[in-house]
Amino acid sequence: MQYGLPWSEDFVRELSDKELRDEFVADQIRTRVAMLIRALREQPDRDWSQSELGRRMGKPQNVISRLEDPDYGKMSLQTLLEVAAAFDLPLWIDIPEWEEWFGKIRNVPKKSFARASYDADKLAAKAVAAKAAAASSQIRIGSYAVGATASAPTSEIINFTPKAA
Amino acid sequence: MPVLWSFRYYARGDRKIGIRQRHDEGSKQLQAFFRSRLKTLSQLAWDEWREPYFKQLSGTARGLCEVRFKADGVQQRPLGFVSGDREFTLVVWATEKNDRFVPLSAPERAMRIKSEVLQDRSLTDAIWFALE
Repeated sequence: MQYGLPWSEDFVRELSDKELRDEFVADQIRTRVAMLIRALREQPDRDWSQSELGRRMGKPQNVISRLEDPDYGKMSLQTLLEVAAAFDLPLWIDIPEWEEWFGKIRNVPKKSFARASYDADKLAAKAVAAKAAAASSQIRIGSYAVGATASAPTSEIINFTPKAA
Repeated sequence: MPVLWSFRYYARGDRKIGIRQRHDEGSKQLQAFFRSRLKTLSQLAWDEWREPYFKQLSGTARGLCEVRFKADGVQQRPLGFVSGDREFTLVVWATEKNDRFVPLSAPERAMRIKSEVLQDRSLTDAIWFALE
């Protein structure tokens, strides 16, 4: 970490060469995808073999082995969608600005990487909890609302954010 | 994860197997992929340095490891070893063809250089590029 930034002056200057930079990006994303697939497959609550992931994708084990090889550079968007679907996870692809990208490549998918498959009950419970939290942080102050007068009661709700002590 | 590991390289290698020489004479793809792989490895705990992007050698080459990547259509195999606390030293740049090292003597030479380096760290330099 360079003074709070995920890049140093040397690092970005060394990537000034466009061809080098393009190849560097290509290898980082291929490596990341390969490691991500393996990390999700080996996640303790899944602990799937390559064959098991292949079975869920309708592909033979050797295809999964290739997908987990950073040197395999021919993965299609369709294949990525199929991989994500096999884990019951969504897919998100972005073309970020460099500053964001440098931050993202610091987060290498590894064993500790855990992502939960779709669970409607869990997601719904979070929505309910968020709604309750939002309701409790709002104070309905009726006629005492900001800008209201005693003669003109209001049901305006103002957001109340407690100040840190 | 920030950088956990540092890399060094044997600074007296020749044109054929020297880490710096092979890098500098390589294509932009080779240079970029090499940087990229070292950056990735530098962010991983040791137990996550594994195939297909890394391999610990066995047999007479036990104690040596290879960084594995393909660039310019060739399987690149820079060889090195763990030289200290979260420090990895690269000693010989080999390639692989038909499951054999090129040059064939690469592991043997790497073992010899490893012994020299363990006795004299000044034979190595810190890797010449930034990892972040």
